[in-house]
Amino acid sequence: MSSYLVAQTSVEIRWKREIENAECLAIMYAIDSGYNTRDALIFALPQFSQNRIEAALTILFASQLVTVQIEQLILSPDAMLIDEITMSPKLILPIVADEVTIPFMLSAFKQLGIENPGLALDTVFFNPKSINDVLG
Amino acid sequence: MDNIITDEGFMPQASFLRHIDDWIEYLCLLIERMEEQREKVKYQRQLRWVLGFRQGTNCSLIHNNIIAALYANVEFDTTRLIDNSNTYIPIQDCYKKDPQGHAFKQIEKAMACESLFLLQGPPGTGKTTAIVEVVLQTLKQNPNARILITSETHVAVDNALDRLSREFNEESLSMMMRYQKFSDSTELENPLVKDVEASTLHDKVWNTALERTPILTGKLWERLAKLDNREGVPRWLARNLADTHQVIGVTCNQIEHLIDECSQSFDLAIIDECSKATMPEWIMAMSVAQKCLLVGDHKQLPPTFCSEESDALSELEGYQEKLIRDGVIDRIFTNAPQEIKGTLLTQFRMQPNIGDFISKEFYNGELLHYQQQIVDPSLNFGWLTYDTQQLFPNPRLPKDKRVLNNKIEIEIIKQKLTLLAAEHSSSLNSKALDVAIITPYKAQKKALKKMREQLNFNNMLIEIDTVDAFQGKEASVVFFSFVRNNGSAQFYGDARRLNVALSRGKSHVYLVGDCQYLGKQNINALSSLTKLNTLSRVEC
Repeated sequence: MSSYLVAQTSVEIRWKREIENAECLAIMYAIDSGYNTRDALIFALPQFSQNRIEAALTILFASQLVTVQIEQLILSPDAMLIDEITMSPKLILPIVADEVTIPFMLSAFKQLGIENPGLALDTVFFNPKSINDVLG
Repeated sequence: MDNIITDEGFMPQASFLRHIDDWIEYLCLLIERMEEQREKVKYQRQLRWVLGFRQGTNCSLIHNNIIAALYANVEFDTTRLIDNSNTYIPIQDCYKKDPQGHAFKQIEKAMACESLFLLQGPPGTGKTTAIVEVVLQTLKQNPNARILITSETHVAVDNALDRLSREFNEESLSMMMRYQKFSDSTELENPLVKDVEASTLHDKVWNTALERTPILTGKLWERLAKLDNREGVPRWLARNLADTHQVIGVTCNQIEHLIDECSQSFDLAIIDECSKATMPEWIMAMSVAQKCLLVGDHKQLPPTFCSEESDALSELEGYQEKLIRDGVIDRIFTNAPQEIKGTLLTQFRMQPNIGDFISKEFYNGELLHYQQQIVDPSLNFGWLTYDTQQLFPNPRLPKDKRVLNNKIEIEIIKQKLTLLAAEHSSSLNSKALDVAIITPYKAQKKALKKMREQLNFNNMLIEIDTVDAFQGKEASVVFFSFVRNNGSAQFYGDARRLNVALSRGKSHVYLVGDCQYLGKQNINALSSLTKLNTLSRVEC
């Protein structure tokens, strides 16, 4: 019986460093729960100082994860799904690490149900690593 | 800023920068050698802050210039550093009694100084009271002021916060935070102050959140737990709590837990026991505040270095090791102009005859004594000595087997303790007598602790420690066990170590040692000590 190598790659997907902090995550969760004004956020998140909420909002605006419409904060419909992906176990793909390119990930995000994969690519970082299993 | 230090001041910048570079070299060596991860992280953190200070990323560059000028002993114009336009009225009762007194004058000077002030507090002169007054005056002047109270030890931070809390009402107390928590060994005078521990505040904000938004809080509790799996208060919450509290107590090495690029700077950082802190430790505190008050006493012990640290130091050039061991505080205090430094001169701890000795030997006779002499001066400060042919340590043993403990001194202390316990029982005093037994050597400390296990006095609290560890503490009765009666007495003959050892006792200080041997040492303070009364002498 012969054995052969099957290319496998694990891909870890995480929020970019500036977003992966308690303040940004809490704001996304709070807006998702309906606390969608600055005052409502400050009320709902007493764990956080006002200046840190303001600073985190600036980051979220810059990345378009949160936008403002008529003084209301709107969370990108993809934000919570991206967060779920970042918390999921690493993806194991039957390809070599070099194939995990930006277009590949764009298509992967689409298949995972993300409406705006460009936003996902801009806000997460992915780290492909080769894992070669010997299969018989 | 150019005007703050005269042109000549820029050249000497180099000598302080050179000393910072010595530290950088030393910290890199330590990081390389240290196996324990926790220690490695501590030195990496210190290195980051020292580099930051060197690059000028700290809060006030005036600090860099002043320290450099003082280090190089260059004169500079202090007029721009002092604002004498405000008048100050004492807040604490002890200062109200004598608003024109020397102690309150030092507070006024510290308040008038806008950037850096050095306050020397010899033993028992009310350093903590002065710290509390400066905090209260700062808050009176600016009710929104952010104040950092820090030290290299938990005990010093605890004491300052505990004392300050007694001056605060419930509302003021809510602006205070102790990160992470009060040390278990600190006896707090105000039990309410426990409420300001970061862990309590952590529970409080989460409970408030739970009351306001139960579903969201449940989700966040679960999600944010994944961000920081350290025990205790997560760093992100510690930083938020630091933002929302005005008066924060934290050790120097933990300041970084509370500070990031989003944090507001402090208006005032008070660094207690600064002479015991290493340069990176006080630099960390100085770096986050506009104004800095360094409180300490360079006539007491400098920073201590553990064996791993000493090994790394010995790899540096001799001059680098000496500069690092000596610390910077002594030098900058000595060179500082009168406008930016002060000394507390009235000691409240010791009986006058003990205080007199300390004053003459270590403070040029400048210390005054608040207490009246109520204990017989011929009996409360003197020798419990012995005559013996035995040598401690035994020079006949190989070097690695020479243990620095002395069983004769232990026996003398044991007998005296028994007498004291009996005397205390027959007195009407129901309060336990607090006794400290201090010694220069760890082996003797260990042996003394074994002896204590055999005793069973329920009217006495006996604390046993090395001199170095006992700095900042006090007891009614102190025994000082010298141990060594041959070889060099340089270690305990160090004036700073003797100063600490002899100035801990409030009413009695018993010197337990071979008086004859000590008299032969060519060390001034030891020679003066041997002239004190002999209270008992035993033949062994």
